[in-house]
Amino acid sequence: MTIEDCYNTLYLSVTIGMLILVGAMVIRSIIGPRITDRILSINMLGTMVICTIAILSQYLGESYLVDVALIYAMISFATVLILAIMFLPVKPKEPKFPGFTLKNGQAAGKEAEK
Amino acid sequence: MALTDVVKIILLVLLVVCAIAVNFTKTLLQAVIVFMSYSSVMCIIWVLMESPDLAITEAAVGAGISGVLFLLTLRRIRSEDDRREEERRASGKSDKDEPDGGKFESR
Amino acid sequence: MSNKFAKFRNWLAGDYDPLKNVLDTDETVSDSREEIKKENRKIISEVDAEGSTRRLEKAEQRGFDLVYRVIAIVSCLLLIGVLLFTVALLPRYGVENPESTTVVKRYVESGLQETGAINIVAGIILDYRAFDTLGESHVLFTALICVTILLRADSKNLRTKYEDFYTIKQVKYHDLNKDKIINRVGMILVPCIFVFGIYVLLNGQNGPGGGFSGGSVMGAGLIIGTAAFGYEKMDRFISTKTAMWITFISLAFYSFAKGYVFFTGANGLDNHIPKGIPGAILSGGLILPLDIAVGMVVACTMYGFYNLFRRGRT
Repeated sequence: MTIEDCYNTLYLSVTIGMLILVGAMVIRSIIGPRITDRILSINMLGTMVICTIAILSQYLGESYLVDVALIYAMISFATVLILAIMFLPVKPKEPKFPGFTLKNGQAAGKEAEK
Repeated sequence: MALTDVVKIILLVLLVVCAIAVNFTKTLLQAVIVFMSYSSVMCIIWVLMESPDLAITEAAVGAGISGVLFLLTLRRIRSEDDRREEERRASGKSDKDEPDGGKFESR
Repeated sequence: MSNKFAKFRNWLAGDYDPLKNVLDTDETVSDSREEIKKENRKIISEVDAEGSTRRLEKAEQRGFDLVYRVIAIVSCLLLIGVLLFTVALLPRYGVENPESTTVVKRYVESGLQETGAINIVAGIILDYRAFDTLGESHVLFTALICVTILLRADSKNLRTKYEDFYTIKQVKYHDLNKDKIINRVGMILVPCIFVFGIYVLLNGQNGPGGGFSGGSVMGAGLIIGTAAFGYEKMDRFISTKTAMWITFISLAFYSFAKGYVFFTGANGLDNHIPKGIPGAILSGGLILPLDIAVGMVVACTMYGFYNLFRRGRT
């Protein structure tokens, strides 16, 4: 068992662990009854894929494969953000506390309910 | 059995599971999200086979173009609205029963 | 004091909802939703009454459904059969056959000398097999033309009331480009994605990347930018008309340049295109300009698709 063998075993076992977790995320994105479950699982899947790519690029010894992780980080971040904003159901209302006046001169909060 | 074989077997099993699950989903949005996870697993496979050209294209197209394009098209054809209306009409319950007041969807 | 701890205890137990009075309840939204639905139904009935669409009878409808399903299943099975048969005819992986001994050997051994590119894949795509890439770029362009023909909302084929129904009456959704989070994130991310795309594009012959990869990354950047900033700001940067012109000019340039190389090569003449030093940016003969052309075609095609799907006009 040379040092290289030990390193290779380490990299590959960590990769196997990450892939089992990726499988758990995939199953959650298939089963998850609500849409928020699926959005979160996609976000986490992207992060784990980035880690796996970085570990694999070290295991194979090729340094140009890290470019893929860079692109994936940038684009999946923006995608999850767009996904989360798109399915917000409503827009927020003015908060009701006393002393806050709405735009047409009414008073909000407990004074308005009187 | 070498460890690289185990890695490849796990990746291929995940791929098959994703591919089958895209078909058996109930809504279009679910299918698009499973499609995005399929693309992520495919990206890892390309990296394992040491082909960076394909991995870069897969990352950009899978996460960026087909993901965002499909989602915004879904929004344009308003499939979410129709689905929620159908569920509400079919189950016949109001939104006061749910703990979050109907702000977030369930099922 | 006990008030503060009571609040904390409530939050810990899960009873306190911080969004209780901040977000709308569903009542006000569903009211306006019902009004909008009534108005839309009125508009649709008005518009439909003008035309003359014959509705199918029930038996006709059921017959049509049956025939449709049978034909769909049969054609899918046929397609699966044909594809599997073609894959079975491909040469086996790793076994000695003329494709893998002579052709691959020639590519790998004399690829660097004959093309001048360190990345052999880029050399194969854009030098040995440039004809296939030409066909591929034309396929992309044809797809864009077909989508434009189908989805374009002209003044002739547009019912303006229908377009109102689909694009303007969307009060329920949060407006994507008025959201501050995605605006700020877009301001930081979109230039980074562009710069990275240009880096991948220009380094086609020296490292990983090339035309298709760089073009995809730039296309993704354009789509995310449009979703984050809105149509008006993105139209100032690249309008869709400009994108179509860029596609056309890149494809024409590719055809003429590669046509010149084919012509001189077929007649045994020497095309005076310098190979350069491998490793520099300006190397590999014609690979760099052709990379740029292919990348532009891909990026502008993706941008055109997005605009057509989203708002139906270029």
